[in-house]
Amino acid sequence: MMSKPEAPIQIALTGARDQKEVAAQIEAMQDWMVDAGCDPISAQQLAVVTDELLTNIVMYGQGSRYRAELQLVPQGQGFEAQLRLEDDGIAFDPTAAEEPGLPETLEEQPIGCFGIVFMRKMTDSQSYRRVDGNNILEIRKMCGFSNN
Amino acid sequence: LDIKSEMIDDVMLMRIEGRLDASTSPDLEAKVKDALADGHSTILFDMEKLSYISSAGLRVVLITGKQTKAAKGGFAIFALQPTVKEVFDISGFATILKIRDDLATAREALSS
Repeated sequence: MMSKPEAPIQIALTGARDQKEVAAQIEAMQDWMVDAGCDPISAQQLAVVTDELLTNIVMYGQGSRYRAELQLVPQGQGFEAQLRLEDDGIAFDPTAAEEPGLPETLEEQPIGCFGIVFMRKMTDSQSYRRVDGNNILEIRKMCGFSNN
Repeated sequence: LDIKSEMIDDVMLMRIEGRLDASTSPDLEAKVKDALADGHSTILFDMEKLSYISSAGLRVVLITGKQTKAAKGGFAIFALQPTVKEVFDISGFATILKIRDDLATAREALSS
């Protein structure tokens, strides 16, 4: 049986150059969260959100570097996941983008634009700022502890 | 990602195993495109062994739903893991796609 870490633990992702390398980093991040004791659904949700954000940065951001840091801070019966992404690509504030409504029919559903929905519905808070030519996005999400 | 395809009567069943993300979803999209080109417009996705789906993966699921409908066929998915089902629920897809528990109920859904 796994015991919950008593101090914050952290993982950093950087340097992916294409979607395949982003995918490998996301899988490693998700495995790390589950190994640390995060419940699998929360780990999957944070992976989906980070996947979307990193894919956008790497494929469309036109920057030269990025760094994603994920910290798991023990809190109550679980963790607070604190994700910080910084990149020097074109300015993009995902917290300001308009969220599409939920579709009622297959025909109405546009192909794409899930990323904004996921970020808002799968995490608890999001903040963005542009500092010295860098996008800085900070996301927080409470995760349950799973000792399996 | 591993995709195994088989015909059950006139239904193309695709068993999808692994992670469906931006790097692997083109493989599934290509398989669907080939199936439609071969005249197989009724498709089932078995997601029992799908461990992860990103927005890029959802996009291919959505495209398959739209294209099979346009071809007057049918589409359903079944046996989603709880972590994957959560993504479908949050995206709103659970209300616009036929999502079932198993192969038998998914096949029934094709005719409803």
